Amino acid sequence: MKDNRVVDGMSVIYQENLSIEQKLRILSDAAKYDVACTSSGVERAGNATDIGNSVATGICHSFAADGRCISLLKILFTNECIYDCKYCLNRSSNDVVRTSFTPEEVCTLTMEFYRRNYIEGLFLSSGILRTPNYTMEQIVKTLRLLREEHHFNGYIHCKAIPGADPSLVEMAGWYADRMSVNLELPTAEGLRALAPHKNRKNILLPMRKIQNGIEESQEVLGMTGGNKGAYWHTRRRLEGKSIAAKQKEDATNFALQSPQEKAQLRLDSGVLEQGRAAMRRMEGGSLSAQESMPHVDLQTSGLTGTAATLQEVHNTPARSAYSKALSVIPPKMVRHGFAPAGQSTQMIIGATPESDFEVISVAEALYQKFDLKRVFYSAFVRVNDDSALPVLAGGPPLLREHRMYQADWLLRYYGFEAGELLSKERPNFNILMDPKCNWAVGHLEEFPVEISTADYFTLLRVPGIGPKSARRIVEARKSAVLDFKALKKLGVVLKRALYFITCSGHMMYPTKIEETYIIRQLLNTEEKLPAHLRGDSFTYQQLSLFDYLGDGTAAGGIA
Amino acid sequence: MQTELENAVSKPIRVYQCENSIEGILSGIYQAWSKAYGHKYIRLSVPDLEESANLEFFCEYFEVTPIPEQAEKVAGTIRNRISVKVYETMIHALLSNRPDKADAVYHMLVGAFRYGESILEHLAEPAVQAVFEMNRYVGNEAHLYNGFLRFEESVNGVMLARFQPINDLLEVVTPHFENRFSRENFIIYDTGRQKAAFHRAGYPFVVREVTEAEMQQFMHCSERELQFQQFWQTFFETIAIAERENPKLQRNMMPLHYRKYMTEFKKRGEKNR
Repeated sequence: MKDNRVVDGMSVIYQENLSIEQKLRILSDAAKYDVACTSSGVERAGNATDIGNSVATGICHSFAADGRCISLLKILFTNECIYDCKYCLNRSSNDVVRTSFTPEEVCTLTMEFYRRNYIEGLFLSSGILRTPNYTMEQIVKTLRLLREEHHFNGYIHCKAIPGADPSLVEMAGWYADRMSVNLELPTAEGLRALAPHKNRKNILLPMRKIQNGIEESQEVLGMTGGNKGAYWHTRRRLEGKSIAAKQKEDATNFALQSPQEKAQLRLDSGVLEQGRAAMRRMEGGSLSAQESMPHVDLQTSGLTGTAATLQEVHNTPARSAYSKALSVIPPKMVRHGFAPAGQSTQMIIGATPESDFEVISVAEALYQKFDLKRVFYSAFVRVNDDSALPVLAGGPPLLREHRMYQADWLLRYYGFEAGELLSKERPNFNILMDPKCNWAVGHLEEFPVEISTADYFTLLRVPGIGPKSARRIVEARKSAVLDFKALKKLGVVLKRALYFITCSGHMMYPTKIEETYIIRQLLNTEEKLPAHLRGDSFTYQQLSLFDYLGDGTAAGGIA
Repeated sequence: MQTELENAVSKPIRVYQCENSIEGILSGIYQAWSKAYGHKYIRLSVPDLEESANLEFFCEYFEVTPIPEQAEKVAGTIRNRISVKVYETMIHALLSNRPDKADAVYHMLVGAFRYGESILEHLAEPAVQAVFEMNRYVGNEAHLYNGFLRFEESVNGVMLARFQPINDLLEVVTPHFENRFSRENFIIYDTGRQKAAFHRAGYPFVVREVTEAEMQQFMHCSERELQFQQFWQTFFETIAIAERENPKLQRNMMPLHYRKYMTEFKKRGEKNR
């Protein structure tokens, strides 16, 4: 049944009397392009009055036909959107059936799915209904109902709507476990071209607001949460101190301050908390001082789009600009801190012409400046026929997305920097080889690494050794001399690692430490590449051509 | 090598055959250990998990009768004299379905009494390696079932979940659901081992052996239940992006044997299986 109603002076076609199942179909279909279906980051035990708990590692409840994890009930509150973002299925100029949930319907679905163990919680996103404020209000209303009336104690991830009133964003943060604001596209230019109703400032400001709220609820109100992401911990470990020692040092420093100084410190906690490690390195510390602040390097290099974005990231007011980040009194039933599982963001890869180097630099800056838990990348799927959108020959750039995630892991867990992995001369990842192998064959002067003596972070730089196996090696070598067989048992991928390591001074096989030789060997054993990129007659010289072909050629297979 | 062979001939290996239960294996450890025969010449086996029942030359076989007091003594000694972490690792390993589990735990414990908790880091040691692998497998499978288990509301209002894990996970996964659904009446039913954990709202759960016929009464779902199952199937279909379809990845992340009782792989509207 259709019905023409006039809302805010606009004529809107409504589809009435949709069943809850039809709404679920439409609004989950509309939400499927959102990534970040994770339920991790907060440990919360169940209790006698509420239903639910939360596990820090997160739990995957199913895997969809595309192989992506289903952990949360991922839906839009509404697809009645006033914005006209060119990449989005729900852009206002598209002719699709529009509908909205009521807060009560969202609660019913969440509770009933949850008690059947279908899901870990709710992921609530939304199109912009009427105004950003109205939409945010509906989201807050839903979360309040879920937490207070239905006593839901499971995981909630919700989007902060750019442009909504800060107090509404804050209300949502008290009820939710994780908040996210979509960066949408890596650069401001891209955003202007494809999402004319959105602007960078409206995205970065709520991000900062959430970051400050998390810190303030932990430091000032002494609430739980506010635990740092992997990026922060890795950078901290890289300073050469254990996390425990560093925390003790911080606590001692903090105790020694006078009350006025403490207050000041809290205000300047940009310095205290975020990216302290990065700051130190910038001040002329260790590793590579010239690369520790990517935006300086980029500005002189002519990549103005990214440079401008990074500058914006840098310029978004830090906590000192707010007299106080939190102003709303936390609701009574909230026993945890503000957004205790932190915040994340996502951007679309391949809709705009940014290079991998630009994307990964933006991600690095976000990790440093906004303490994000995760940055998600989503391969562009061309759902709308719009002249402003690129036509990618092989479908969504899945392999490129895969490489972005691999690089993201290298930033967060392995202590790599964006500037080490790529440079303005070589701005894109080698599609044929993962970023770590690619880095290693370009830095053969650092290899081979001796397993019995190399420290943790040096081991981590060896292809085929990850955080787990590196940790096991460090433990196991205390009590035994490790040989290659033992390494295999510890989880080291020898087919990759064997070119880069020695055990007690010996390599596994007689091997040439020579770039082309190792590349050829690695490509024979590497992950399976899409058919058109495979072939036995490749040599490295031929392969390098593909670096210039762009990423549209990479299709299928790996996600 | 030669001396080992000579020793083997001069002093036969003693094989203790244990019942496939924590109590049985801990009793086996007690009985084997208490003879002071020499750890090198001791082997523990779990005949129930072995594919063939071949006996070997130069071995003496002993059948272990489970004795609760002995098992409790071993457990207490490990908790008090070594550490709770070693104890928990051992218990997880004993829930595995590998036939060498009892032997690996025995020889890991030999090291544990010498090195304490740090024995768990001696990953180059074959017994420690085996215990580590079993512990990891049990932990991983339990973690997957925390997500893959599906509850169905029966007509009498009880939530029933069926599963058929490879390792003996019932006691490992139930505490998670007890904590999560403290207000629910639920049953988790291991259809392979024919036992179930019963949880009544507000009470600690109990585990006991059950029969298929006994569980039938909980397997009829209500109309409301079928409706939500259908909602979930709808969601499961629409949330996948067609352009990215990748059944191989899906199978990697969620192997087929896990899907046996999962709602999303049930035929639409089907009441029972």
